[in-house]
Amino acid sequence: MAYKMYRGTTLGETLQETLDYLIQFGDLNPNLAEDVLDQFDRSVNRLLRHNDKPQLTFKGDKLDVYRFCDKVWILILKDVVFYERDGREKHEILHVGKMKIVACETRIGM
Amino acid sequence: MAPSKKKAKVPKSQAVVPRFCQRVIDDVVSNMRQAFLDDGVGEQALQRMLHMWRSKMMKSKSIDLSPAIPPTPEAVEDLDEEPCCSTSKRSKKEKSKTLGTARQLDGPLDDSDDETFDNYLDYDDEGDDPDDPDDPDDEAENSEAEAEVEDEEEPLNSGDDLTDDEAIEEKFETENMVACQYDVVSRSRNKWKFIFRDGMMKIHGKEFVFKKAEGDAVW
Repeated sequence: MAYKMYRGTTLGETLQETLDYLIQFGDLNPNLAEDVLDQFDRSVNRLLRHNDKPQLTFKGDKLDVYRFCDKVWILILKDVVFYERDGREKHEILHVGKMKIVACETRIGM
Repeated sequence: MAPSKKKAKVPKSQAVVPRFCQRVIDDVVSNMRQAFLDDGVGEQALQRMLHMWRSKMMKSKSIDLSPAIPPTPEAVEDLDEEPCCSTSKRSKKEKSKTLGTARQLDGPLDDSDDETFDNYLDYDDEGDDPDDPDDPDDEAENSEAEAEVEDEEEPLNSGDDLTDDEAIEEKFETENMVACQYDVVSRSRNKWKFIFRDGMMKIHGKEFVFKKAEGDAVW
């Protein structure tokens, strides 16, 4: 079973909106829609894992709140700066006032 | 070059997003084709789903590739002043031109060519890879997931006592979201260290993808 938390991304939410709409108008039955979401989970997990996407580093001024339950971390970080490495140089790419991280335990072989 | 301003570079973690999204969409569609056919709703329903999904992605500003580096934190991006603004403006015009086109991106009537999110990568080459082949990944690295919390649970203390459920939920509310997996979440006193991987982020309305993100924070 592939992780479902990526459904909360824009890519996942647009898919869910699409499916809801299609169900409403009779193009799709809910079971098939659920199968699509399951496939989305598999696709996203696999494609994220099989690409060497960039590596980032970040520095958070404050960890405001955290929750750890069922091996899922939910973290609220404040005043976070993200850096991306470009060859030998490190560039600041983002500065965020408040952000939420939802992280599941790293799982391989999915 | 714009005077007194470096040409803003789109970070790679942002630049790879359109292609990544395209891949996910294609993968879902091709894997679901048989189920749609078996179910009786057929190719037409599949295409409808595909186009609506893509259309929503286009409309969401997530594919907007103006760099998310405001000089001040929490600055509202004024796209008109971004050096890449001509790109995003152009992209918006192109978007409205292509949205209506029904294209089949795979299957027997495949006529896919360039008409993908990649078209909106209309800036120079910085950080834009050629298509990477899907290599089998070196999964040997960091196969252990560790969650080390140095001691048992402490109550959220001193001034952080929230008795109200709503107040607690409010603390968790924000538009800026990261979905990822953790290799390490550890702390020593109030210094926390994190190693995340396989992440998708939405920050200030822009999308990012990372393989690994390592950082720290103070609680």
